[in-house]
Amino acid sequence: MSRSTGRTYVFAVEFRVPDVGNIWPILERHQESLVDLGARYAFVYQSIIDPNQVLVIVGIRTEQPLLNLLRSRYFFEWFDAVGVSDLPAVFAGETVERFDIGEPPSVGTELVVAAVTPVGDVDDFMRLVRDSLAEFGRAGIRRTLVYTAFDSPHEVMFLQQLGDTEQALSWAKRSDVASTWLAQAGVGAYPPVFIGRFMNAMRMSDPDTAGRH
Amino acid sequence: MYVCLCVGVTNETVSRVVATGAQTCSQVADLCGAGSDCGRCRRTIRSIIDSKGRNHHE
Repeated sequence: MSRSTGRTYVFAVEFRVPDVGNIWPILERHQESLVDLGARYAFVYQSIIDPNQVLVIVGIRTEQPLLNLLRSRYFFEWFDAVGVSDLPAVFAGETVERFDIGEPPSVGTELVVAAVTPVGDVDDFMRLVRDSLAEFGRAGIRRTLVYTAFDSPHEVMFLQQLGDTEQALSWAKRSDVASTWLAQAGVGAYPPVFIGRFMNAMRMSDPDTAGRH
Repeated sequence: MYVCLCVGVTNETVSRVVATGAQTCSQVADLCGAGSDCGRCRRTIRSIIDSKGRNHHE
């Protein structure tokens, strides 16, 4: 059996919906389109600051070029289905590194702090992350993931998992390290820092072929 | 980040055309195509225009 030569993309998008309870049923109804795109997983988080704000992260493995994915009618159908008319900016990138710092939160309970931010140099940013791991641990961060954007060598998304709400809020609002990363959050196309709770996840088994659409 | 999914335009590209003087969504669309198709990204484009305007006046 030949191994897929496709590429793995991580898409992240944050948006506000009238009824957050609709998100998961709609994604489940559109699971076939996710599979068709080559999706391997989809995670949904609900903001603890604004309960109608959600963060959706989808991992896709496909041979299709990135722009074909972005233009896919599926994206527009999903936004239509959840009631989003004004499309938010979409982060598209790949995982740089994952750091497991402490005992992972129980599945389904994790809080996340996430943001997309411009950086001067990704290597310098990663050095800062590695130098800060002890501080992360003291702040209650259990896992940190960093992604680089495909469209810019100076843009990253980071996602940090914590065990409880108080730690997540404290980290996002009072950390000197976090404040340097979050300086651009909420400016222009960059969404504000997202602090949220895991809602649901979908994992798809490896398809027989790469995504066709 | 990708601001315009139809044309595949990023926030960096939009920021660049705004820096050259584009002040409306139509001007941005003319210069780089963002917002020229379905138009559903125009609110995001507007937020970039507004943020650059604030930076200019600071």
